[in-house]
Amino acid sequence: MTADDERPDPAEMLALMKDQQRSIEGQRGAFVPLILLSWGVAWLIGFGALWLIDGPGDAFSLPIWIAAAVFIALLVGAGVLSTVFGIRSSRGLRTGKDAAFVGLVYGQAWWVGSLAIFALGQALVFNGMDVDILRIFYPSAYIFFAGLMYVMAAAIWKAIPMLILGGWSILVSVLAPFAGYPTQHLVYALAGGGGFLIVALWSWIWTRRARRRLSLGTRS
Amino acid sequence: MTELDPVIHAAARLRITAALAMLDTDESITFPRLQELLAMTAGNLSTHLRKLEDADYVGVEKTHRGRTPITYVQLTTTGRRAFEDYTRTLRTVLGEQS
Repeated sequence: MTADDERPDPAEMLALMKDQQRSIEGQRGAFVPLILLSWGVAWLIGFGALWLIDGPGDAFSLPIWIAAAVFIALLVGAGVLSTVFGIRSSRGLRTGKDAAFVGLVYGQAWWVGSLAIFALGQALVFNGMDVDILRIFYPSAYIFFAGLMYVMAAAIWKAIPMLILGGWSILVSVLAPFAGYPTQHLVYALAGGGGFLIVALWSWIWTRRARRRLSLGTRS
Repeated sequence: MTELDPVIHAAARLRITAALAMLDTDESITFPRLQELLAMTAGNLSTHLRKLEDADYVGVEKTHRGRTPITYVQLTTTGRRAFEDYTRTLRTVLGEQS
């Protein structure tokens, strides 16, 4: 008899099965903390830069073009990182029709929704809203929309961290406008960016622990 | 039914089956990626995949992307059922509430 033909202990086998699946979840989710970290940094520094335009009062003012450039560069960077890591995590997988449909609809919803929000803001101005109010409307509407998309992602892929992140984003997006301009940008930087960084740390601990599950147990 | 399926009841094959059962029913995974996720040697993985294939638990599809050959692996319906039965039996044997 080879080692393979031995009848292993059922309890060990059940544990092995759970460890194996947890390990794969950890490996496939290994990129998640990096994505969250990049968004956390983008929010913290990006909205921080926007706040520095008028936030500190007479003491200091960051030129608007620098603030805008920093904000856009960080957001684009985080978006590119998310896309690259997302593609990497599904390498070697051939998805079925159902998953492909879900991925397609969800992915397209991001840019369709973003364009719709831009149009909605312009429509409000067209109907007489003060242009300055866009400073309140756009960040709030976009973060609200992103929060909803996170909640949807949580529902589709059963990811609790995304649910928490989505709920938190929605809460921040509806409360921050009450702080008014420019303080709202400080709220987005600290509460929004901080939220991402906390969830990033949490998911990093979780995936690291999950990946290590198997190396502690049986290997063959 | 308390007899544990001998095809699955071996550490390496249980790990392979458990990993493949995480995919959707119409999803498949390449051999190298599966090997990487399981941290198994190619030889070990192919040996056990063949045994699972012989039992009709695993479907192996060889195809090409350009000139590169790709091997896709997935659980068959029989294999998915066998894995569900196996885990249910395991829990029954252990007296665990599922």
